[in-house]
Amino acid sequence: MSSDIPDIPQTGQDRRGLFAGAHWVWLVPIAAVLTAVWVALQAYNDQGPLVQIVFDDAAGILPNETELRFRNVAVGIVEDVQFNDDLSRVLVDVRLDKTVAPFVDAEAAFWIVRPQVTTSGVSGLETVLSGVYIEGTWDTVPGGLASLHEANDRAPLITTFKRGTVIELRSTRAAGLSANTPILFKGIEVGRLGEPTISVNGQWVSAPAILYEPHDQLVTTATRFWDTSGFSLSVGPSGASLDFSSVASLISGGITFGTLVSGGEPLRAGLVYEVHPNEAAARNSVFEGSSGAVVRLTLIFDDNVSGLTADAAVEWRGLRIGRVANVSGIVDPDRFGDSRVRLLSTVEINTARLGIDANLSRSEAIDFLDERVVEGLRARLVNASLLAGGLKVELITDPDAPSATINREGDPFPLFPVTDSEVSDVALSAEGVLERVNALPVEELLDSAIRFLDNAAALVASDEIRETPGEILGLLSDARGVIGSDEVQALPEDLRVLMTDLQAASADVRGLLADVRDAQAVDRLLAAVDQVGLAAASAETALDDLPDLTERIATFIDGANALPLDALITQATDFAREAQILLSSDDIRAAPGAVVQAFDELSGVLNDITEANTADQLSAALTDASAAATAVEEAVAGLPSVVERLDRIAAGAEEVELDTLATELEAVLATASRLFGDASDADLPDALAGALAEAEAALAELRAGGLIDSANATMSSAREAAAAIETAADELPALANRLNTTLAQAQGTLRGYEEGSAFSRETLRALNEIERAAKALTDLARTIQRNPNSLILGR
Amino acid sequence: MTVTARDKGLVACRECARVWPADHTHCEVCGNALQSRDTQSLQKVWAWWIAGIIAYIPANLYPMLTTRTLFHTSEDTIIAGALDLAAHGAFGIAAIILIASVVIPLGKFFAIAYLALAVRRGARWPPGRQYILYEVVEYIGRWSMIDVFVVAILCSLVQLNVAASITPGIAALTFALSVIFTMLSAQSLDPRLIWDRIETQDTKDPA
Repeated sequence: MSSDIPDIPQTGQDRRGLFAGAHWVWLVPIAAVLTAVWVALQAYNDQGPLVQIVFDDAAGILPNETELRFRNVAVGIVEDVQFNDDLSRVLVDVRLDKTVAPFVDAEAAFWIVRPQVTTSGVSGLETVLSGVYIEGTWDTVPGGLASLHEANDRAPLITTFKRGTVIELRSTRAAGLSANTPILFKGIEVGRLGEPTISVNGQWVSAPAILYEPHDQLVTTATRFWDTSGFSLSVGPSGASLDFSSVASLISGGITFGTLVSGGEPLRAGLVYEVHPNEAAARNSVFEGSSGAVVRLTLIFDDNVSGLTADAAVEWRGLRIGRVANVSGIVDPDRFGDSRVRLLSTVEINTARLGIDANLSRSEAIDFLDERVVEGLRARLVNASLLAGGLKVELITDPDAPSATINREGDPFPLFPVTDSEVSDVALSAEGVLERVNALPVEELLDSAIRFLDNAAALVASDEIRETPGEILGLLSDARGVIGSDEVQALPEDLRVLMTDLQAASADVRGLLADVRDAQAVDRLLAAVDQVGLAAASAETALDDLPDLTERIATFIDGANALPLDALITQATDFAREAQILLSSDDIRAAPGAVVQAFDELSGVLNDITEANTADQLSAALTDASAAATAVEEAVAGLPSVVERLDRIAAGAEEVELDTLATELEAVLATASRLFGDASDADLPDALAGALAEAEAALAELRAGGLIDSANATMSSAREAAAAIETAADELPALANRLNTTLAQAQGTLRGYEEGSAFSRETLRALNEIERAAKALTDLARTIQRNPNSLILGR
Repeated sequence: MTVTARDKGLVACRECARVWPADHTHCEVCGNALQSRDTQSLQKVWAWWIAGIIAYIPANLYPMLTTRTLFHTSEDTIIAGALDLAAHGAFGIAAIILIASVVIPLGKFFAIAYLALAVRRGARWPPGRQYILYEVVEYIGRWSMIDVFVVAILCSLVQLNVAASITPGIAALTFALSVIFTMLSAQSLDPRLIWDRIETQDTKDPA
């Protein structure tokens, strides 16, 4: 059957060639292959180089998703994220765009942009939703591709669109240095701080800072930087000033600068500046100068006083030469022998401020200090400020200090010797004072004072007290009346007259003695004795049994013989001589009238006296005695009683103190003799004349009896005054009682007070005085009551 | 004893199924060119097949969809997207996607290649089963476009401007091309060639 099969024409068989029989459909896979090849070639051709960026932390980086951006334009994409061999770093492979690849040289910097909210603003907000991206920066000069890069933790200070000069700022305190802190100049941001780091020795915090162009020309080597964060309130003589630069710097901190002196060199990158805490410190630093080596010393203070802090001043003669670097405690029983905590502080001393050569090495500077220490230089703690209460370290020269040297083996720094601190805790003293004031029972005191015043007011308001001034006034007026009365006024005169009279009386006595002599009393006495002797002889003859009487009489006679009559006579003679001399003087003769008159008066008086003359009386007595003796003689016989009586008489005669009489007479004569001896002076006659005249007047008044009247009147006045005083004095006890009561109350009140306080003591003393005054008043009243005349006599 | 049209000197129009004598070059009914056997069938099959394979490679390597939400852009290839869905627990959908986008196209590639090789060199499968396979490939080929439809619908629906948008990836295009190429490849296979093997088997059997 196959022969029946018609031949099927095989089209195209006649044009067989290389592709003979190939269907056109083959073009499709060929085109597909070509397309694929072309796409692959194209892709390979467009692919940029791969760079590897090393991160510490690749948070948020996703392969094929996280972009690399430059000026916020994607120029690459992360292809791979992997670890390095020891897992310590993250390696991120980034496929760069071919166009930027030549610029990504070794200078390029990469960092991850994350959303950040800081005090100075919000950045990277768009990455919150889209995820982080890697930002890169490089300069505009192609420098050849570098395939390995180290990423930064944060954006570098210098980027392609923020150019400037990078310097280093350092500070001893981290307060002002924080990342991204703006550097302001006249309120305009001209720079920014980088991430601060702590220096290796822990002394400084330093941070790189960029000063943008063209503001970096404002900074020279003489520029000082200071911290303007926060605000400062200063109160000075010119008033209070509140200073803060901007609200932003108030929150985020800020640093500003000023070129305070001229002559600095232009800024260059890498210079190190210190950030001062405030503008004043920055200005001060210009003059202090910070060059010179820093010598660190260790001080160990026995006193464990609080108040010394880091950064406290170290001063020498008032000049700040350094600062306290740190303060800590030390307990070392092996070294100090006890386990007390001692204050160990490290101080830094700037040798330039000590006035020594700044180029000295550290050990040479210590040598210098050691010499001073040998001379007595010591460190001690003193109060930095009475109000603030801080402490500072002061170097003083104490020549009396025990010798010491710097211990160079001290740990951690050479040990500098110290001396006793001079720290007075003002606050504590003030507190003690205030506590004591607080402890005073002020309220009770006031209560008692009020009660006392109430009582005093009641007392003062009482009728008795109100009457007292009137009565005292009356008393005083009475006393004034008494004193002012003519009689009292005349009293001195009267007394003078009286004295004159007494003088005259002594003259009279003198005359009396003369009369005694004239009357020959001795003779009469002798005669009487003779008579007695006769009587005795008679009695002896009559009465042999009366030896006692004889003995007594003998004794009597002996006593009489023993009388110093010779001396008496001698005195009298002397007296007479003196009188004679006196009388023979011309002055006496010159005033014969007065003398005559006085003598007339005297003679008158003496006559009066003579009329009742003792001499006569004596002679009469002697006569009587002689008569009695005669009578005895007569009645001797058989009358023993007579003998007894005679005996008694003799005893009485014996008792007559003739010794005393004679002695007194002698004394009177001596006095008179002296008187006349004195009277030989030139002024005697006048006085004598005056005395005589006075005596005359006195005698005249005496005669007239005026004195008596005056005395009587005076006495009656005094009696009246006394009566008035007595009346007043009757009231005084009541007053005194009231005062006593008040004082008792006051005393009782005050006794409750603290005895130690000065106030109480004063008050008690005052009250005691008042009490004494009251007692004196009582005594006065009592005395006046008992003795009214003491008002006049003044006793 | 199987009798073919060719044995009887006839040729059938593949369009209108009118049978003509073998000397007719064109169908007098519909004007279609008549050919007892398409001698270039296998050429075209392989050409389309290769083009389909070429297109299928980027369809799986490149992202099918680019989904951009507010700040996030995600690009997913077919398999990654299916695995992603499976990871989220949507195993059914993941299975559908995997079957429609991976299993079926790959199955079609294998099926077509098997048939083409079987036509040329013979196979263990009887020609009847080969023809059933051919029918399945023919029928199912169009459903492979379901991925492309999903992408097209999503992209046209989810265009929320800034907030979110979905754009077709390059894989969508190549995947569509791959489907087209495999359909054309399947279509290019002249099923009558399958029966020719029966003839030869029959002729062999008596021998």
